[in-house]
Amino acid sequence: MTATDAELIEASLRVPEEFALLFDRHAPHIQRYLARRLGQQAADDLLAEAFLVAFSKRERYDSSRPDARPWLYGIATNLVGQHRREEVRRHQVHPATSHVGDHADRVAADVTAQAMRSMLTGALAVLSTEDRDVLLLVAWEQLSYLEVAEALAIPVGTVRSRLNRARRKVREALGTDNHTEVEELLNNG
Amino acid sequence: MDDLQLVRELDDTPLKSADQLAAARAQLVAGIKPRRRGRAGVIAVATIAVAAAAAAVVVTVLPSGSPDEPRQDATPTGSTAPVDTAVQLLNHAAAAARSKPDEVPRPDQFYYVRNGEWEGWLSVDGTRDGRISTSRADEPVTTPGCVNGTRKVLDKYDKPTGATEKCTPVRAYRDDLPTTADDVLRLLKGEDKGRPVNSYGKDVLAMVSFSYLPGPQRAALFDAATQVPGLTVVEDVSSGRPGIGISWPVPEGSAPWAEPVVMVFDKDTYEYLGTKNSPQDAAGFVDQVGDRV
Repeated sequence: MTATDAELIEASLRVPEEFALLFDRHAPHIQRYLARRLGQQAADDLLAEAFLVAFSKRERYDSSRPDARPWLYGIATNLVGQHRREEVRRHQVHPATSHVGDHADRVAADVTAQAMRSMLTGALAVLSTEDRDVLLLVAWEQLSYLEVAEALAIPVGTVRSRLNRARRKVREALGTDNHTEVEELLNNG
Repeated sequence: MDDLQLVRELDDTPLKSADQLAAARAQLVAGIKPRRRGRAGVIAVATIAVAAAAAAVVVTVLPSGSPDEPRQDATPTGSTAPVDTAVQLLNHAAAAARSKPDEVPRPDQFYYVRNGEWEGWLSVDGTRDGRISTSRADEPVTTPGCVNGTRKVLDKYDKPTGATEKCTPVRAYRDDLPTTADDVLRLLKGEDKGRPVNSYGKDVLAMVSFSYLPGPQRAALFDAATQVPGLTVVEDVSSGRPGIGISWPVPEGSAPWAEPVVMVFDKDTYEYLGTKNSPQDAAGFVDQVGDRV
């Protein structure tokens, strides 16, 4: 039978190299999460660090939790928080029409898609760090409310209220109280 | 599809393979292995990783956000004729844009935009360091200006790293856009001959929402929009204050409950006010980052 994450972590207390198996299991998703938030370059640089931080904290891992993903996402989210400025700049996207002179005959469809993408990433940029953490762990990483609560060490009720606030702000920033207009903006880009 | 799904679809970052992650794994194993070195060794490796990351992060600085038209005193067009068609409304809006005494910022000024807690100070000529504050809870973020094709790379505390990168200035004041309807249309059309009205509408919306267009540029944009078939007038719509709107039909294949976007103009001055649900709180030119209008 395959060992649970908790069993691997416990084994790594005696044989540290066992911890690399946890990397094999979860690194692709943790790397993608870091890449989504900070870009590929930063994600590649921070991935090993995330697992080294986890390794250094493994003695305190709650062995009653078989799945270590929330724990690893929490550590990764802390690292993202240390690089918040990069993330904010990353979300400041270029207006669609800024290359008028030299790209006047570019493919219009691409530009429109980019414009809408700009509006949505712009909407993400207006969120506070704590609201964005919750929204992206739910929307991108598809963690449950319980898992997000575990990852961020906050009550489930707080997860729920932050998520509601984040969704409302995204809708507002896109200029609609009604998410169908958001959908409309993205349609047929 | 709900908004969570939209956020999800914004991203298409692929999962990396084990091969692609081998370097990071080796780094981890190197940090794990020397058990005798104890925790200090682990922390040392981690610290090196942080330093490497800080040095390697390529910061992309592209100020934008959701700026809107400033609340300036517009000159009424004098026209009291009822507006029945989108073409008429756009003609009025173009005339208003042309007749309005335009505020011309100095290159060293900033275009200030406020939308709820979001505030941005965007460099007029793209060469000055701007600032974006996403919420009161978070520290503001500096967006370095682009001077002579290079800009400085900042670390996570906004301190210069000493490194620079290539760039093109991102201007908040768009007097570089075309001033004739034909040129704007050419710009909007690109190479796509069979482009749907929805696509045009969204481009126009993005243009007026993301930067400040001087009167001639804005007028040309509105003139160009009159030539886009399918735009309709919406009476009695509001964006902060009551106005009159231009809309376009939702494209085929949209969800049955999809609502069209409405761009709202002042009823008397035809000044652009924002979209139906998103009026701008404040916008205008200021001398320094931190100044407000």
